[in-house]
Amino acid sequence: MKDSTPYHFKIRVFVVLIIFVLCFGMIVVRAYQLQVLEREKSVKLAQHQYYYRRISLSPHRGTIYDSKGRELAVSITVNSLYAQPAKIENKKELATKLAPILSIDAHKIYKLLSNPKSFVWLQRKITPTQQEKIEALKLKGVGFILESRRFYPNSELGAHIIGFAGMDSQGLEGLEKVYDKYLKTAERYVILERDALGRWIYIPVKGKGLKSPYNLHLTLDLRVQYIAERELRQGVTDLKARGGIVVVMEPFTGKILATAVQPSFNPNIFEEYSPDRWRNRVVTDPFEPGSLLKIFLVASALEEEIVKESDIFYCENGAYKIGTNTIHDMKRHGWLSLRNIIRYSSNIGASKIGTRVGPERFYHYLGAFGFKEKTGIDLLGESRGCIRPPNSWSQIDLANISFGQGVSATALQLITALNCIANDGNLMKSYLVERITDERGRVVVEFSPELRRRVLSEGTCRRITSVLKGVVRRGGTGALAHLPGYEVAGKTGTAQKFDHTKGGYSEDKIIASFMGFVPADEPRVAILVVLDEPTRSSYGGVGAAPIFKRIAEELMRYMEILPKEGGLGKGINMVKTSATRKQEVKRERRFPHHMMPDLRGLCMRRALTRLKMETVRIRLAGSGTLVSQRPAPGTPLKEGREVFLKFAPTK
Amino acid sequence: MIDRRLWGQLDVRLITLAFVLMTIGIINLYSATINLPGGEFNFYQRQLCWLGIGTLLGLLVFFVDYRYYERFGYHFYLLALLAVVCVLIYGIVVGGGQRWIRIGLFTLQPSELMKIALILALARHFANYERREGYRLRDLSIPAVITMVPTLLIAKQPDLGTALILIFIFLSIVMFVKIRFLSLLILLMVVILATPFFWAGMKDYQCRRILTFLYPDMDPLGAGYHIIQSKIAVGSGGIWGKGYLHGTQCKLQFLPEHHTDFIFAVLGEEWGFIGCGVVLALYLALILWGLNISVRAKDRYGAILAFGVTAMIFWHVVINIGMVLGIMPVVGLPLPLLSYGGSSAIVNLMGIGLLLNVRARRYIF
Repeated sequence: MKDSTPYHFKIRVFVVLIIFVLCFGMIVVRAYQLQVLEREKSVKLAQHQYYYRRISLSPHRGTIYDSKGRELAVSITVNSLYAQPAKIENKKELATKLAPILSIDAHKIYKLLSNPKSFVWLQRKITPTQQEKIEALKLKGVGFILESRRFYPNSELGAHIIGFAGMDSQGLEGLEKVYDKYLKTAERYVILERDALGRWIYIPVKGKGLKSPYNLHLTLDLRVQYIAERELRQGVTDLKARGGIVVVMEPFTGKILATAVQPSFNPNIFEEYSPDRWRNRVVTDPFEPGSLLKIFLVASALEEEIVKESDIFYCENGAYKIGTNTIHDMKRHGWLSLRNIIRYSSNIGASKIGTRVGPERFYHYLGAFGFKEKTGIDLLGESRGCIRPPNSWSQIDLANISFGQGVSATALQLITALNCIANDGNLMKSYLVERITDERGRVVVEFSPELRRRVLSEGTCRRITSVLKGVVRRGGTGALAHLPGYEVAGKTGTAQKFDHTKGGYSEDKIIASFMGFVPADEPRVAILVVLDEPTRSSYGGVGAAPIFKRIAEELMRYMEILPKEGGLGKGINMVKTSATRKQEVKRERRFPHHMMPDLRGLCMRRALTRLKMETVRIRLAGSGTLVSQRPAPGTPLKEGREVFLKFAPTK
Repeated sequence: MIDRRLWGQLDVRLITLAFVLMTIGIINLYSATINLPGGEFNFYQRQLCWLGIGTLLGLLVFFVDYRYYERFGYHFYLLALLAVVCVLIYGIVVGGGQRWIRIGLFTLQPSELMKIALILALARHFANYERREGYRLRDLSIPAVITMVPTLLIAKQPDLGTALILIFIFLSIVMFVKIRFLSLLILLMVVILATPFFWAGMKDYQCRRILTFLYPDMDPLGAGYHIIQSKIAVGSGGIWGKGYLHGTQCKLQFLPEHHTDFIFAVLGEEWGFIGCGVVLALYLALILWGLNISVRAKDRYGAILAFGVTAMIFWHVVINIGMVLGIMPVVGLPLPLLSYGGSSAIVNLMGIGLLLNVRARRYIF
């Protein structure tokens, strides 16, 4: 630049340069101070702000259906009431206005409103009527946010299985908790921010996770569940018992159709019950099974061919001394065959069979039946029961364990083991969830029957079944479980409870039980009934067997299983019938649910009965026996699929 | 007028600096606006378009010999003044300020153009009336009027930031062209004494901004919100930053206007102290190079012109970053070449064009 005094000009430029550099230096120093020296403070502030201004909303949950598609748990949208204390002028007045509507103490509301926070929930998930009343007041500083609330339309039905979800839609108990990650959508929350004009703005944010929740389809059948719960409740009231359990299982698959627990609770208001009510005692509480265990003693004896059904044992006329201890029978018996030992439930006879089997072998079989391990069902808090190892068994222990004292098992372990006998010796894994689907009904996860192991041969199973049928016949301990028109295989159980105060078995506190399957030769359901401390009639045969009977009776009707020809099933032509039926059963077993069964050779009535469980459209042609079918056996049957059956007269 | 040899006279260093800053600007803008609803085009795409237009205009400014600007300096100034008056009458009101006018599809901020026009006019005046012994106060009356008319009009929009920048440009040029020491002192006294009147004339929210600058914790959710949020964002970046696209404070929209005036907070959060340092170094290099161009200009007009542009960029950078870091009050000023905004991009690139112009013609007589 042309300047008259270059020296002065240079000074000016230098001053400008210094100012420029100083300004930049100041900025760099400030950045260093903020980003390096005071970084922790900022990070903390950032996090504080992040959490403080984030308000979680309850995420949506998927629906839980029973096996027939009936809703067991649904999510409904409800409004939650919040307040912004800073915007409220007269907090006292507002509190007194809201108190009667929300039925909370006005003082409590006032306390909430005095909170320095910018946002407080006043009451979450209010009813529509409450909302209308509050809206009518036209209050300033309060508002509603839509949230999701869990609703159980059947109240108590299946409560112990389904469990419940909490205020933030988190699964707390039962399947709601086990399958939480499938049922729950991603966490939802709003971020509150003030714009330049001081208004609140909500920025809804979604966390990581599912966009829409998955639905659960259970093996549970609401109708079966209803029957089980109704009969159990009735039985518990009638007998003045402390509680009770019913489990209904499908033998071929291990599907659980119902589990009832008394006393029950309503999951819609679960917080009003004491937490021990929530416990699903079917899996959590082991008990001494008593005579029920004799089934498995006999099973091991027959499988090992140590005894035959007709072998006779001397039952010591009701009192049998082993060392210093004496074991008793309810009635005095002399010589009894194995068949009758089970039929009359002789403890002395059982202990003698137990001695023949020996501790090692018996222990081995109990293990094989699943008494030493968890069943692996999809429920929380499962117990594995308690059986001491055989090397610690004394002679009296072996005798006691033979009739089910001194060991403990859960209801689920017992019914699963019985199931094994009903299912030709195949121990199935019991399960509750059939499939998980997404919002469009596409299958995400599918659960199919799972064979845990093979325990017995088919022949042994048939022999035990025949022994168990005797229990239910006239004169047997389980005669009250007899179902006209059907054959029942089952066993009663009466176990004395261990009294911890006395340090021995209690005289009057017992667990009465009955478990069996029906129809005996073509089992469709296995049912266990347990009554805890019934006070009116204390034996399994008197207390639990009638409950079993009533449940089984109604189930047969519901499942449309026809009574046996000849009405009261006196055993005429029994061998023949059972043989032919067995063949059909086998055929059916090869193709479980939702698969086209092999119907060839059947009459029209049988063929249609077989397809009754399927939701297919059936077309018929001809008459006589079935000669051809479409689709081929083993084809999966989808809903509404057309099934073509052609019949021809028999020659 | 346009000489082919001029291509060879393009200052590669200045162009490189500007280009690097623009690139950083686009990359940073992409991250800043990734969560913002952008309409038909994304913010960074629109900004690319503006930078393209700006570059073309900058080249046009470069090719025309700056002596034409000297001749038509006042004409430009009057045109710009007319536009500013038009804004006050026909302008579009956005966010409480009437700052934009619509030209076809675009909206323009004439107050941005006024910055360049004022530099041209002041350069013309000081180049024509030279006082070897330094300007006295009375010599400054005409330039003061030239400055205050648009300043007051723009302050009325209200656009406090731009009004301040005009005053700062005026003061910087006065310093540069030599003012008597006594006059300088008096001038500074006048500015200080005028402040209360200025204060009284300011809008309520402007007063609040100044107050919250002084006491940011006074109203943390209201007026102090910007400063606190911006400091948290920058501070939480630390030395190395949270990584590109990994900033949370700005992304979660705790910090409003983070793509325009507070763009530096996004940079500070994601790139940390290192990133801030690099960008500041680039700006300092640009400004010092501008000063160099000014000193080596072939005539007085060119020198004042180049210095005016340099001062304009300098004050923008210092005030904007100072505001983001909480050492300057919140006045709405964009960060040159980094903030989102069409008018600002065009004006800054035109300014770069003027610098290139003066640089290229330093030997041509």
